[in-house]
Amino acid sequence: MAEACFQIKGTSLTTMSLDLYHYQPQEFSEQLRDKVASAPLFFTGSPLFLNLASFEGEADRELLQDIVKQCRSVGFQLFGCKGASDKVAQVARDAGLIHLPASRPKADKSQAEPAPPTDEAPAASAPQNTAASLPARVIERPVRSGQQIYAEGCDLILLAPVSEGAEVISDGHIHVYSTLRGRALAGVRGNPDARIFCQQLEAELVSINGHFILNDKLREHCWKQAAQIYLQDESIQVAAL
Amino acid sequence: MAKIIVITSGKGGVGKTTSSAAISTGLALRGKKTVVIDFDVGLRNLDLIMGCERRVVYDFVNVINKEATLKQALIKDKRTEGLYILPASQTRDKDALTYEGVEAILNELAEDFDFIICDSPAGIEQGAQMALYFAEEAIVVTNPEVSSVRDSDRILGILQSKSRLAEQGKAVKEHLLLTRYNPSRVANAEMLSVEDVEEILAIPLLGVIPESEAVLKASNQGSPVILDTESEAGQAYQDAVSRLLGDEVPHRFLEQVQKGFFKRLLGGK
Ligand SMILES: Nc1ncnc2c1ncn2[C@@H]1O[C@H](COP(=O)(O)OP(=O)(O)OP(=O)(O)O)[C@@H](O)[C@H]1O
Ligand SMILES: [Mg+2]
Repeated sequence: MAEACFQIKGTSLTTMSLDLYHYQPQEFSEQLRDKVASAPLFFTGSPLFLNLASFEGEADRELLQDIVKQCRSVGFQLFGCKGASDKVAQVARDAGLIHLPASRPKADKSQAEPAPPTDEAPAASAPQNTAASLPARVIERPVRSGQQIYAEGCDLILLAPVSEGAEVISDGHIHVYSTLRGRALAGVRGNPDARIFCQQLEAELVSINGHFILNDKLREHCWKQAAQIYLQDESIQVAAL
Repeated sequence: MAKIIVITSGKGGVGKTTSSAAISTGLALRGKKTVVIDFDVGLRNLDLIMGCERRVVYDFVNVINKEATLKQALIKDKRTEGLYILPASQTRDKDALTYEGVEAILNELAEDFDFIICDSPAGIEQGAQMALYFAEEAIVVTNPEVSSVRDSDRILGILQSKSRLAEQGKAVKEHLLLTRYNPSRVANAEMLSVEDVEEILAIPLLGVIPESEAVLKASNQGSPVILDTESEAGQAYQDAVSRLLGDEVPHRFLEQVQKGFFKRLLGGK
């Protein structure tokens, strides 16, 4: 008998979703570019689907084609569309997107999702318990310019410097027991309680739950000192350790 | 078995070839049988700095393509006993080097030599990645300025992710070689200090080579600067070679030289 050519397996693929609220081409384009610029290594080439569940209004062909074009131009691999009405679903297929069946309604928070949550939660929504279940990822060597470390579903602990031009990303907290010169993004898949701790703050960018601040702002507080960064009322706080 | 060391930097023109020539000569002077390989296909610089350009018949690519044997292509250095040069090809395209071809040559050399020094081309792309792939140790050549330090940082990332040792889950041993160091420009804050660079790159310091006229003079004469034992650059390379061989040697030439009356007034150090 011939050897099996393939096997079909169940998998829980982690991807990011783009939850569209409202659409204005210029605004969308600017915000999308800002977003990608905040962590180019992380976002570029990332698979992404479009979630229309919270979209005000009805998506038409032109809008979908526009979004597909914009997302691809900044390097996302937009592959699908979710939360669309039957009519829009057909339009999405025509725009080259696969149609993903809608997940359970958002109101249903009592039941934990079995699969890893893929929706990047809007800032106001309840925290999802993405982190803490897995042990933290520990990195002992420096993270160099051009490198990226992503601790998926857990905290990230770094024992050596993070260089300018490097990205460290975590679904939970990020601890840097050294100098943080690059970009640190904590709680990327929706966790407003995530924090960043570092022994010496010289970061290019820090981000919690999608909110970020840049180097020029960071220089005003705790620069080159031990600091923690957290989110309070949707605004990033930097405090001495 | 030879130790394979790559001399790399990311940024171009920082002193890789100058350092490759000096360090390989220095190792041979200490009785280590050494071969230095020019990986800069298309540019071919090392043979000029080693002063053997007129003796190049076959090159690295000829050996890979089996148009010549390694024995035919290796050039025996005229000045230093135990030193050989494998020159790069000047005309071939950059894809002429293959991993299998390079590996075969390195394996053959490893049987005969104590050290194999690989002079990397600039950049972080294919050519530089080929030069560092088989290395067990890396000498990262950096100038005391921000863009050079950033490029060194990038090449360190590549070293620890794309080299053969990294693929085996091991680490390449890293050395920092700071070149073209000018203490008075550091004092005027026009250049980064040794401490600044060490702090950013966080790897052990192999040596600091001062900016020196002797380097240009040496390369014009086709004689590695380490042979100019009077020059500060030559002495600094000798110290670096000692450290590479495990000796502990204090760093020199880090301070601004104070002249004449002032020097006496302030007291010698
Ligand atoms: N310590 C030094 N003092 C003064 N000049 C130096 C010093 N080191 C190198 N140079 C000069 O810098 C230039 C570049 O040196 P070299 O060719 O060794 O660099 P490289 O890194 O090999 O360059 P490439 O990236 O093009 O291969 C040469 O002109 C050389 O003479
Ligand atoms: Mg060179």
